Amino acid sequence: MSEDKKSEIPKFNIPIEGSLGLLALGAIGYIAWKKKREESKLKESNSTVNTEKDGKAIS
Amino acid sequence: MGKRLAKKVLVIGWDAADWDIINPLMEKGLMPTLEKFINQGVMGKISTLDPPLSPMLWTSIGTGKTAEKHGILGFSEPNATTQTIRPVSVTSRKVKAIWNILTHENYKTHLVGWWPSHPAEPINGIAVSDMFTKMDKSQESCPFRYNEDCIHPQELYDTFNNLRVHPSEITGSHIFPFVPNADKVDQEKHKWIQTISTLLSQCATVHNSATWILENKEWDFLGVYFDTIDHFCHAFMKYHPPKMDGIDQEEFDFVNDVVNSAYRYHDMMLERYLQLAGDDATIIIVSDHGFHSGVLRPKTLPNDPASPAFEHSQYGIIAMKGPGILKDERIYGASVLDITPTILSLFGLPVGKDMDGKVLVNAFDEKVVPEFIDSWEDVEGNFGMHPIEMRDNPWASVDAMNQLVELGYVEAPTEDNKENIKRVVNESNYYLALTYSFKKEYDLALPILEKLVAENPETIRFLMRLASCYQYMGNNIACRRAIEKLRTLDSKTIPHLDFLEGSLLLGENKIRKALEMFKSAEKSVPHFPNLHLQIANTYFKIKKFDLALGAYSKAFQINPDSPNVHHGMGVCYLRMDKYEEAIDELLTAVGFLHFFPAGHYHLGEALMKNGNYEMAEQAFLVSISQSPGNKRAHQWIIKLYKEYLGTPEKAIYHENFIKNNIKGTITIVSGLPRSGTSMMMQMLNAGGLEVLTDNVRQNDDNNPKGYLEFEKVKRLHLDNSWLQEADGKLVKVVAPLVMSLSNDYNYKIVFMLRDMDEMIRSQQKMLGKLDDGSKSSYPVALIEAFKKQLEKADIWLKSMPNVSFIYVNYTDVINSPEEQIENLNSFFDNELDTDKMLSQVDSSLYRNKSKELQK
Repeated sequence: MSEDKKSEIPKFNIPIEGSLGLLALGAIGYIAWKKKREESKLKESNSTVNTEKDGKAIS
Repeated sequence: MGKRLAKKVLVIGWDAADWDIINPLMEKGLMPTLEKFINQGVMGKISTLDPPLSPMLWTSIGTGKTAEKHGILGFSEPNATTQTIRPVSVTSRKVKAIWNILTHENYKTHLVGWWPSHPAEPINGIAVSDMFTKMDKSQESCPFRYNEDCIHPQELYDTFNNLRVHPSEITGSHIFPFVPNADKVDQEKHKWIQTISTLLSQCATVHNSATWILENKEWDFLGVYFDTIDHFCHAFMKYHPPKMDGIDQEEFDFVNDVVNSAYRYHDMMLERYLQLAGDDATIIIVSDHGFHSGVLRPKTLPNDPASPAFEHSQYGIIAMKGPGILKDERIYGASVLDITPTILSLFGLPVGKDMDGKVLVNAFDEKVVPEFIDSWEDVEGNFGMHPIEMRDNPWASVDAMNQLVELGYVEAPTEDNKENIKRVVNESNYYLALTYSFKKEYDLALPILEKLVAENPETIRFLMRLASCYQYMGNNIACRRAIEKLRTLDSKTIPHLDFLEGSLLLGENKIRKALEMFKSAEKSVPHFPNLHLQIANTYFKIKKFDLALGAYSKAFQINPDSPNVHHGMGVCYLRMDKYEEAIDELLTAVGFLHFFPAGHYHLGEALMKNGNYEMAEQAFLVSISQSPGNKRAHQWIIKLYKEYLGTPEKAIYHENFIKNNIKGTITIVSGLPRSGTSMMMQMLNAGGLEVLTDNVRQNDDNNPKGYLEFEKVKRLHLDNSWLQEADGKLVKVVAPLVMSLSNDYNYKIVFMLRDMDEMIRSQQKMLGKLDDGSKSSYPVALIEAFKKQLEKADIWLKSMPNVSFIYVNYTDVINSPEEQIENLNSFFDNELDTDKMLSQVDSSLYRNKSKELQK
């Protein structure tokens, strides 16, 4: 489909636990929230790897 | 092609949305986006169809056609190949939908979640089917994939799959706005949180899909459908304030705001659509039906597949804004069938003459004259539908499959599957019959219902609808038989049967008995729709206008949007000479329902009596345009032109119309000799009807008050040319000759009945053949012949479209003259002088009582 278009991206807060407001934004809100969760997961797993390296207890 | 009025059109479907919930929320500022929306456009109620089942209704919304044409008949259908059942699918839709027509016209057309729309049709854009949001048990764990048939074009499957929201993603942040004390809910006991999570995730999947299209693709049309409000209402309306009897207080405290929250969430989503669509888009928000709240909520639901429909109410919502649409205005008289014709006009495309809906022309700020095409079904080309080999009639396919089973080519289905298929076929036939009944095509509904009842004699709802069908078709005997059977089957149906029987009696002008039945029903089902309307109509018939107004007020409390209630109140005020009030009510009635010839007619009468002559002229003209055969409307407008508007030349057209097109009406009193026909002639004459008589036959000892006969009647079977003399008058015609009346006139017939034994004795006495009491003198053959004549007359009376009739029993007139006169007056539209009629009843002339009565 060649008729793709670029729509304006509104600014919004993205709490990690999500919100109704974010859900009501539709695709753009959901994609941003999903990304935030993935980033947080990654961060969490990186921090776990780091703490393992540091030899501290894993929570 | 007509003028294109809209640049692009966005249709947002909110299943079951109802102003009764929205208005209080808007008043509190809790649905600000919708409030702003309606200030910038039009709003109104939209009437649903029967049966109010969503897959059928949304297909009607998408096609402009009723179910017998579009072919979607319920929630499920047989899968002939696998001999199982499946959810209704788009391949069973027999006609083109708006998105197919727009595809043909090369518009960028998208569709999300419409019910039914699976498998996704190959339209000129993106289609996301209704099955995309559904998830079966096997897919409860993340991540999930669904059938690629959900998405067109299939290469976008992964894109949309990434937009799907799983219930496990819903968090406390989403739930707390619905259930503030969600953390305290015993989730073992109550499944509320799970239900809300599932509904929100499905809703978000639809919303994500639709907004992604608007964000990323060019579009001329997008239709997006949400079932969320409906599902929230089915699960939580019983907890909605005010608290219903029988609802636990603690449960009520937990979830009483869920329905409101669901609406508020839709308002939040709407804001995003307005941002994405832009000010140059035409946006239509529509629901397929409303949802009962307050006292109309049913306390229990029957155990049948259509039971959710009992919670649905007659009016949903429509709101519309965009270029060329009126601002901050109400529209009236919209139906779910009107959406597709209106969208076609917005694109400057012709409306199919085979569509059942109309263009909502009153929503536009300029005059819109719709263009028409015979049928879009006859137009060839690419409509973005599935190839013909994929489309089928599942009901016919079952027949074909059964034949193959019988021939031994295909293995027979298991007993369970067989039973399921039979159940689904029965349901679809039932819904088809309801559709025909809704369209008043009772002759088509009848054979379906009769077959269903023959095969399922104990199924209450089939028999109940059959009884109603008989009633509408005037087959009172069969209707009463069905009522009697129903009374033996289920005591819970008795109030409804009393209502039905009351309606039968009212139709037979048996006013007091009808009222007794309605009152009996009222004790058990005080909020039963239409009951108070019928009670009011009954009081109106006997000119008890205050009581009628009281009953109309009760009907108004239950259904304030009923055009019939406002019409009834208006006519009551009219007859009470309260013209201002009458005009208000009648304007409301025709506002709700524009095609309402009686409403416009009475509005004309009220306006005329109030001195608003120009407006009265308009009202009569509308009434005449909707019902050209209404002689009284022509007569009123003739009077108006000649006596009030000073334009007698305009009256000529109407005078000629009456002369050339409207049949005259002759009133007939009929019956067998000595059944009281002369007494009835005297009564009606005293009541104000002019008698056609030549007085050739003089009064005698047998009939001291006179016969009031007309000699030429005796030759009616040979010569009916004299009937023109009887136009507008009352004439006596003996029963065997009544069938010789010509079709050139309308007839109002009062048919007298009397105990056969009494009648024969009276005849014998008159002829000097006095009964000596011996068996040999009793004319058995004569009695049989008379009975046959009465049977023949009965069939004729019921079969003639130009005949309205009332049976009156001679003995009843003698014993309870007031009641019988009341019934007669009702039959003659309350135009008789009942006091004078009463003076004509002389019980001393009742001289040949049956032996039973003499005891």
